[in-house]
Amino acid sequence: MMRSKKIILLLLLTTSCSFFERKSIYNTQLDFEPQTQQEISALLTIEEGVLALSEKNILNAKKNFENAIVIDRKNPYSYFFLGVIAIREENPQKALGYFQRTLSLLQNKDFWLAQTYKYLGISNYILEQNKTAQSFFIKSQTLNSEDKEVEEYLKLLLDSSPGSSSGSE
Amino acid sequence: MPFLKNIKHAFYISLFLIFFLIISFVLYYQHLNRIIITRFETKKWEIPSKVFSSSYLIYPGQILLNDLFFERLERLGYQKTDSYSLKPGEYRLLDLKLEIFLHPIFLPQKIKAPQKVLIHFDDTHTVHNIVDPAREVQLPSIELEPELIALLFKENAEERRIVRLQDIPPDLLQAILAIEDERFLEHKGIDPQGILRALLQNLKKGRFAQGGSTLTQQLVKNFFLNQKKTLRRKITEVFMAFMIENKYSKDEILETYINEIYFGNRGPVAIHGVAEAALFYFSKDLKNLSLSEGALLAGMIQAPNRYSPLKNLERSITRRNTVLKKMLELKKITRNEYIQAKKEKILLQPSALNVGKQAPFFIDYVYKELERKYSQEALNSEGLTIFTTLDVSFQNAAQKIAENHLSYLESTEPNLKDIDEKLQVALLSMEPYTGYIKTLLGGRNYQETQFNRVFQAKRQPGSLFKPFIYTTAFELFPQKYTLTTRLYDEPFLLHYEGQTWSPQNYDETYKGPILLREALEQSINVPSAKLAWEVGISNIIKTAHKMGIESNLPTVPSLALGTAEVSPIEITVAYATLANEGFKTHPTAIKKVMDRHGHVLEKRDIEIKQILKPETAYLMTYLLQGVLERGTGRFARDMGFTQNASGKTGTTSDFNDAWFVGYTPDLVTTVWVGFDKENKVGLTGARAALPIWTLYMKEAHKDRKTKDFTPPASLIFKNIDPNIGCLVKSGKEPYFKEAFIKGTEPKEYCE
Repeated sequence: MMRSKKIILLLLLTTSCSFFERKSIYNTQLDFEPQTQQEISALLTIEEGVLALSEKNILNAKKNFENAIVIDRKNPYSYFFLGVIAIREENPQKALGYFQRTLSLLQNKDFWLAQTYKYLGISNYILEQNKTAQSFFIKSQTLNSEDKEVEEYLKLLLDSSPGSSSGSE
Repeated sequence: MPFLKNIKHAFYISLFLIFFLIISFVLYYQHLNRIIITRFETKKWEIPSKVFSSSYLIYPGQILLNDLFFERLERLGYQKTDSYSLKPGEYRLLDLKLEIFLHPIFLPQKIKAPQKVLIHFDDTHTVHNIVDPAREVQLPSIELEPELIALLFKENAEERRIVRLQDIPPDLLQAILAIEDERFLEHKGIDPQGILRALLQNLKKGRFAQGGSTLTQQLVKNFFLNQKKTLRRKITEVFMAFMIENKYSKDEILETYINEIYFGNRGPVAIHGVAEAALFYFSKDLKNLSLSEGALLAGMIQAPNRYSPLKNLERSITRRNTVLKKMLELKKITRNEYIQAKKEKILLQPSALNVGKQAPFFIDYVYKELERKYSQEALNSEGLTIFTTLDVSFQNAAQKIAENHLSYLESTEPNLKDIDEKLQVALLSMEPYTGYIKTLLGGRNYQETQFNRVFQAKRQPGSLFKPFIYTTAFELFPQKYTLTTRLYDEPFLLHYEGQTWSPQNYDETYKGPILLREALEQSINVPSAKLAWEVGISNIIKTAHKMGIESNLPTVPSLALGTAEVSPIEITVAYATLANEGFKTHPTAIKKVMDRHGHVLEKRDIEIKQILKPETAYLMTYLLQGVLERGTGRFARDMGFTQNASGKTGTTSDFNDAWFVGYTPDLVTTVWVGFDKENKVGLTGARAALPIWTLYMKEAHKDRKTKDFTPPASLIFKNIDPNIGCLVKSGKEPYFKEAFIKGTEPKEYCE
């Protein structure tokens, strides 16, 4: 539990800093090429949701993402951002489902794939599934080596693994 | 002296009597004071909770402009007009353009303003785009407001929206004062002038034509006392009116009054307060009421049922005109305003006139879910607002279709004619990607029995269980089992735990070697049972549980043929996992709960979890599509169902239960037909349940185009011989396009 609280604090700190990073989930364009008006509508709805999320209007954000799923359930970003919200609400089990779904729908969009792997890593780490978490963080790092948060998490995992010199909590 | 002595006695007795009267008076005063303070200052009204359906999202790609859509508009109180200038609640259709002025959405303590939008269609009546003409922007989607489907209340329920005095339009306030108590601001609780005037009027007419009660007296009567016309009650009323006027300001009295006034009934629930009345009769917020509408409501107060515009519009308008005339006499409005208001046409837009219990089984389920978290007291009297997932159009369609088909079976099937029990049904329809329950039919007639067969009835699923065998095979042994794997339809005897079991086919014939696809499409028992034994019964049980079956499943070979009892909800959740590409969603009927102040008490999120590999889910979906194309479910196609869909029939060996479960990318629906007691329905799933499923799904897909199930990238398609399973060179017949996980496709071509 102590570790979970630490992680969530770290997550909150780092994600709140993400506004000031060059590339974050809030200021990076959603990599999706809509083919139909329906897909355009879903994308616009998701973008409204991202805006609401950045303004910390969680209820409104959720509503937009859920509406986007109704309009186009093939758009991975609705699930992605619902997963981000679930992490913030300290519900890693729910988040895991969302990110797994994102992964099944995302098609080789490096930044977003890296982010999805990262959040899958975070969800697994909070659930104390360290090995799985590590493999996701490594996948994320392979796609995006500049992500400082992933480095931090991998360091944490290394520190807390058996036989590490820093010992466990 | 005796005379003096008597006077002395009389004096003391009188003193005692006076003293006694004073004490009684003081005690009575205190008693009434307590009542007044308790009721007035806590202002505790018992407000029923409101249960709403799902709102209807409109977005590009939907097919509207059909009867389903217009029925939805009609239920919501929208009216077609040819006028160019729309009012809220009106719409105009011009070729391929729909202009609609959406209703305001009334939430507790918040109103979403009405909005005019333009919906453009293409020539297939598909929404092309949605435009806000005021801002000249395209909108990604709009929402038609949810429908009120139930009120949760105790006995003698009253519905009201509490408002403050400052929120009441001045015209409405003046109308009420003018007609009910013109000297309200001057008197101290009773109005002697008013009483005298009323007395003279009544004497003149020879009957009771007018009351002389002040607003305060009316409040006392409604708020504190009963409606009995006795002298004692009248005296108490006067007394209490004085006390209230002494204790509270005119504003406080008036505010309580306007929230208390009775304005008629919505079914079994009384409408109280001007705000609820404005919403009920005109679907309007108070501040948008016109002078004419306000006067009409004020006129209703004296006799709400007599002057109800829903019962007699002409009488109601006459009464409105009386109110307007009185306002003019008292110089509360100008002559011009009076003339304009008299001319104004009353446009009634009553909202949900009689909310009994639509979808009673669904409401019961919602109530039970809510009871886990909220007390009955809170649910029935705290004025909660509950938003659910129900689609009223789908629900109504399901009810009608099920009843029609069951009546048809009862009147035409010889084996059903002599049975004195009524045939029953259970239908559940859910969005596989959200878990939202769109339709729930727990039985044929809620009034006869409230037993909810969707959740509470455990029945043998029969062949409906077979897909769990094949799912297990693909999930655990993807290299060994493909859609072209050869299975053997021949007699076999199974020995296990000292017992033997020999499964039989329905027609007691055997086909010999067949492809896996055919074994499931034609629902053949023997090869399915063999496959079950090969992949392992305990593995199948694990798969079924993961997918959503919660019932205990015995580790016996006959499990493969659906001998273990399960409920329709479990089946629906399990098949939804296939429809949702291996992701299981949690079924939910409730989206959000708000308290009367507009605070969100809870919001239920979509919950998903990956259960199967997407390849497994797709192979099963592709396989089960064959059930509708060529297999036991092909009657659906004969009935005109054209959407891409997968499904499975289920018939128990003793013909007790008839099932069909099927899904499109949008909706998964399970139908069960049978008897509650031991009577046999004697019909297959294809005959009893499939027609209900087909007609319902046709209705539910009226607003959507056919969608494809999307294969994962790891799957490939090859032309194969449908009888043998080898590859077929292009241009050769017969062939069938079969799906394979890359690397598992056959390598050899047919000779």
